[in-house]
Order: sequence, then C-alpha cells, then structure tokens
Amino acid sequence: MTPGRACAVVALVLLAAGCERALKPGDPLRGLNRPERDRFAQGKIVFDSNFTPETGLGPLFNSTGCGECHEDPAKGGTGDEVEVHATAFKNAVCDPLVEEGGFVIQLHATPALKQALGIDSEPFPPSATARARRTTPVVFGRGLLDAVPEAVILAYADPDDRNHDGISGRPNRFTDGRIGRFGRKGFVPTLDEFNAGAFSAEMGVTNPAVRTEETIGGKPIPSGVDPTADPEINQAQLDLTNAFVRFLAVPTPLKVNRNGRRGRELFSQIGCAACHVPTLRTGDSPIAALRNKEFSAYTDLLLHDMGPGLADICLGLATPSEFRTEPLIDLRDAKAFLHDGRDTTLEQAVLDHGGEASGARDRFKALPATDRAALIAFLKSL
Amino acid sequence: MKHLARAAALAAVLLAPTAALSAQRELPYTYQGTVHAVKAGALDLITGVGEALRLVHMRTQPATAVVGEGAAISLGDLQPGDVVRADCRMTATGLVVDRIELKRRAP
Repeated sequence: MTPGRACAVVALVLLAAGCERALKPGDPLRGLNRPERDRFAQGKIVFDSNFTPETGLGPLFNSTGCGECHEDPAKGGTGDEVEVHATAFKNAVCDPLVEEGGFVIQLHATPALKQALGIDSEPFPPSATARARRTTPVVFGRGLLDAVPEAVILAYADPDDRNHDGISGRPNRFTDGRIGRFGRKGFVPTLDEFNAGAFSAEMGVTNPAVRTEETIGGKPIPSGVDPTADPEINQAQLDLTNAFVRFLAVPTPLKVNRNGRRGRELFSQIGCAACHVPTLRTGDSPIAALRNKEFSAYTDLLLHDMGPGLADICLGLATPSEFRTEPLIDLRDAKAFLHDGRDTTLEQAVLDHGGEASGARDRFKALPATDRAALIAFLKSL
Repeated sequence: MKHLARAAALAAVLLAPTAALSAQRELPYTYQGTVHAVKAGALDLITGVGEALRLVHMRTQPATAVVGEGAAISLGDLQPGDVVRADCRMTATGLVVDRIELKRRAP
C-alpha cells in the first residue's frame, strides 16, 4: 500500500469514528457480535417481564419485574420508586439484620401472604438503628463497571489520606471479604450477583444463585403461601437478564457548547473529579465489547465519607455516612438526586455534599453564578 | 451358622442404604462469610448473593479447629464482623463445622 493510500484509509477510519451514531439510553454496547446482540434482545424480554405469585413473585416484593422500576427513559433506566433499607450499626460493626429478614425491606406482599399474616409489607426490623430511602438507579454501563479490574479501584484508594487532599476513598467488602462495587454502598462484588440477589430481594423470585426465599421478618413463610417450586426462574432466564444488563451501554454524553466545556473544566478544577473520576478502563474480558475499553464513568467505585447530613444506614464496611461515589451516567434523565432522591435539582445535590466532598462543595459555592451554571450545564450533558 | 449368615446378609442389605445416605448427608460444605454470632456450641455466619443475604447456622464441636493470624485461636476470639472460612459437613442433625479460618478481622 502506498503512503497516500494508507493515509486515505486512516482518514476514512477516523471519519467513520467521528460519525458514529450517539448511543441513546437503553442502547447496547458498540461492538457486540450477532449472538451477543441476540442475547441482549432476549434478555430485555426477561428484564421487562412481570412476575405473578403463580410465576414466582413474592411472597414479599418491591416490584413485579426489573423493568417496572428501571424504565425511564428506556429499559435499564431510572424510575420513581423509592424503597426502604434498614440495618443496625453497633460497636462499629454493621448488622444487615438477616435474622429479621435482611436489610431490604419489601414494601408489598402477595394476596396469599396478606391473607395468612394480615400484612401489606415486610415488618420493619425492630433491631434497626437506621432507615434509608433508596431511589432506582440507572443500570446503563454496569457491564463496563463490572469489567474494571480491582487493581484499578484499589489504585484510587487512599484510606489514610496520605496525599492530604482531604479525600480518603476505600473499597467496601462483601460478607465474604471480596471487594464490592455495586449498590449505593458499593457492597456487592459482581454484576451477576447483584442481579441474582435483586431477583430475590426485590421480587421474591428465587433462582439458581439464590435458591431460598427470604424469611418474613425472620419468621418462616406460612405453608401454602408460596406454592411455586424453587428455583422460580431457571439459569437460562438469569443468564439472559445478566446479558441484557451487562451489554447496556453508557449513553453518549450530549455535545456541549462553550459554556458546557467551561463546566467540564470546572468539574475537575474544583475537585469533583477526585472522586467522580471521569473515565475508567476495563480490563480483559471474554466479551470484546467490554475488553480494554475506556468509558465515561465519573466514579472511583470507592466509599467516601459524605458527612452527617447524608448519613443513613451502614452496610458491609460502609459506615452510615460512607457512600460509594455514584457513577454520573445518564444524569440528564434524572429527576431526583442523591441516593435517597432528596433533591430535585443538580445544584441542590452538589450543595448537599458534605464530609470528604466539603472542599469541592465550598469551591462550587464560591464560583460566580455563571460558572456554577456552566458546571450544572455540563452535568446535564452526561 | 447358616441362620446367622442369613441374618448378617439381611442386616447388610437393610443397613447399606442407611450407610450410603449417611455418607451422602456428610457431604462437605465450605462457607466464607461474616460472623454474626458465636454462641456456645454454635456459629452463625452471614452469607448470600448480592443484596439477598442469608444466615447459615452451624454447630461447633470441641474438636473444631480455629486458626487465624498465623496461629491457633479459640472460638471465643471470633467476634461479629470477622470474615471467616468454615469447612463444614452436613449431618443428619445439621451443619457441623470442622475447621474455621479467620480471613479478615472486623473493623
């Protein structure tokens, strides 16, 4: 190939890359092969299916299907449901209250359970020391987050704040000691485990990874209330759901104007990017579309102390005031902000940051109004 | 003598499934989880998948080996929040733990 032709080929490739269609919320990752795209499509059907007591729902549940909550603006997105979690924090140790039914408090009961026990929801655990509200997060890009090597997460950790920047992220750990990354407290190590656990904790649907139903506030399920044989979904259904969630892309950030570009600069300058790390890189993966990919994450997947104003429950190693840095993905479609949805504007949410984020928050407050607006405009482009 | 042999054969036939079942029931199980409680003769571990957590109750015995931090420790040294690996077997009366290894101390 002559140098001229080689240049032409390179130019065409660059042109094609520049013209790539923007990924919308709910789109699959770029670069999936045909079988993977098929599994994404089939998994979306399972994700969007609704369970009934006859097909495994309950007897306690928060929703009838994944897609009932994760629905806006597309399947895998956010939703307006708010659920309740509760734990007990005693002597610096977190008790997830498994003896009293676990930390996810199901807000609905099947008709059979209601008839048997006269309850509409799971009883609130009497030993709880704190209650938390949890909004529905988007699950876009979770396959990419899952594929980030632990070494990358640990490289951002600075538990003793050795660099004296006031930020001291540390990883959470699951019950067996593995590093966690999923959930508002970064408790769950892998995406597959998060999904399998959610089938049980959110829908009361047992599956090959979680074969037993949760108790009713620590008491056995009355006989005849849960007639469906366990597991209530099979491995194929679980695998397809995992494939759908794993292959959901991060929506392409909107193009920003000069104001938005200024906001992006400020995001780094005032220190937001110290925790909301703009890009992460995946490691090796059997799926080419997830292998060695740099993507917009805006998280370090670590726990940070957010101050007493935001504190609620403990979970794993996370103290009540520690939260995993929320990935800023599809922020443009969010209507409620922070883990409990307390804020209705991004500006309020930034101002509610405390603890390790106090410095960045104060620098945000000190910005001229035009710069604050620029930073918010940038966030709304994500 | 013939009568005795018949009785032995009959006993062997009748007891064989029981022995097999007993061997089946004592299949090994390994759990790694967080200590919830250490009681007299029992250990409760928090395990689970994702946000679906479960409590695993296992009985300890005087012979249960407890190791951690490079040396033998006692059951009483374990505390809620410690992460341990428990090598158990399922018996007809429930899980019995033979060896507990401390993997990570509670915060």
